Amino acid sequence: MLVVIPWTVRLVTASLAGFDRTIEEAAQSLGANRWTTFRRITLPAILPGIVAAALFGFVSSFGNLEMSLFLVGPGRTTLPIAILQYLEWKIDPTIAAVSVVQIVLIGAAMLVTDRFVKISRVV
Amino acid sequence: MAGLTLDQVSKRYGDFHAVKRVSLAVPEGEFLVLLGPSGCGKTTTLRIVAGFIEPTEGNVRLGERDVTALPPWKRNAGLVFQSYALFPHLTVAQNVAFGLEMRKVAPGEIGPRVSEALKLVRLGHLGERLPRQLSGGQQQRVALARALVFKPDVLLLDEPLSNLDAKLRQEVRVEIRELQRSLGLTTIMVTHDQEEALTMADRLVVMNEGEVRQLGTQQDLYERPADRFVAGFVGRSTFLEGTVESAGAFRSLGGLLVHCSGGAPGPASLALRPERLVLTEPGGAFLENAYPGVVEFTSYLGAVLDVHVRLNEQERVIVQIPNRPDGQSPRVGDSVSVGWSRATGSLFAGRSDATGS
Repeated sequence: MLVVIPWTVRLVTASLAGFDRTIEEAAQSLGANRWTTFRRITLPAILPGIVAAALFGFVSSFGNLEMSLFLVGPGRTTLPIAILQYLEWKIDPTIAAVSVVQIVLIGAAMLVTDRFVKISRVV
Repeated sequence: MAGLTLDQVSKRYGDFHAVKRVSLAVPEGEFLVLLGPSGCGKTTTLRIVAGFIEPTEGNVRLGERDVTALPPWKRNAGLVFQSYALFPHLTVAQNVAFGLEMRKVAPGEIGPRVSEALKLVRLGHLGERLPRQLSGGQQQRVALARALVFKPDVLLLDEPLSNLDAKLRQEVRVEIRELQRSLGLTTIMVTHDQEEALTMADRLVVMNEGEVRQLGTQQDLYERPADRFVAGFVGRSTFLEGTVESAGAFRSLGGLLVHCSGGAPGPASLALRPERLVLTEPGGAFLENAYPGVVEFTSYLGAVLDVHVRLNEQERVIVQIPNRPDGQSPRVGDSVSVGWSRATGSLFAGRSDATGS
């Protein structure tokens, strides 16, 4: 977690920095109080940054092997550790199958992200 | 709709007085323009009215309501920003609907009112677009529709035309003005563009250093400027520094004796409008004041010509003359005579070392 905090903070900060504060003022002048302004205007506007940061945090935590290896508590394990331990003793296509599942997972994550942050918006 | 009153409103940031005891009364339906250079406090004043800045002293009334302590979302003021500030993730129609949704207008009523507002600004067909798919002028009109749709008590325009190109600006000026008049909207606009201010306003407020320098109609400001600053800021003036020797006689620092109207003895400056001065052949001016000079610089402005005439070592005046087709315009180095009548020019007590333009 500590490893990805700087990245997520930067990503969210960057989307906040690119955010035009006058649109918050516009919302307030139209009758939205602070909470409504945040919910209806600010949050949707910075959502791409938040989603990107969340996904980035997830991916780098998920795929992390060396740090998890040292930090994981007894009785728990993460997927990369399990794969490593499995490979120490056996060589069979299970790992390939697991990798396919992972690829599908990542693909699904991409689709979900695109739901929030349309690539077409940027390109 | 309601009138707007500012009573002795001040805003201090530490030792800095952003706004000093500003009092204004804007009657219902009036288009008032706050005019001044950057940092003069005009935008701060507008933001106080909008509710984004709380005044240090004084109060703001909208109609009969004292709104000084109310947050912006309870003021019912329509605001148009220089950057338009449209919500980028909402369509044009959703942008316009936002103010109605916040006021809990029945969903069935929102649609018709939005399309009515969009039709008012001639964008009825673009409701489904996103703001970034529109041109600057169109975005600006969406912002206007968004500010008008909920029938605000007062319309506040913060340099709404600064981001438009010159040609479009002239069109939108007229458009906003006609809309404002037909809806009878009490409006305050902030601008630093005096041409914009003069074409749009019912009355103008000239501000400098946080203070109201003069409030009046276009003619008041132009013909009877209250002080040296207004004379230099509204329209153009050339200033002659000097002393009033006796009522009606002004002696410039360069030694010219100028017949003028009024004036109390003491240091003073005389403001002259370039288009009120008469340029003739040497010795040709039959006016109370006529001085020989040499043309030092000319600039061709299409319809008119600016001629800078040196009267003596210390003094130079700008004369604006119509551009004649016969090509008989003065050239640099020509000897000429500059004249003006006694009534031309405004006298201000006190002297300034800064040369006004």
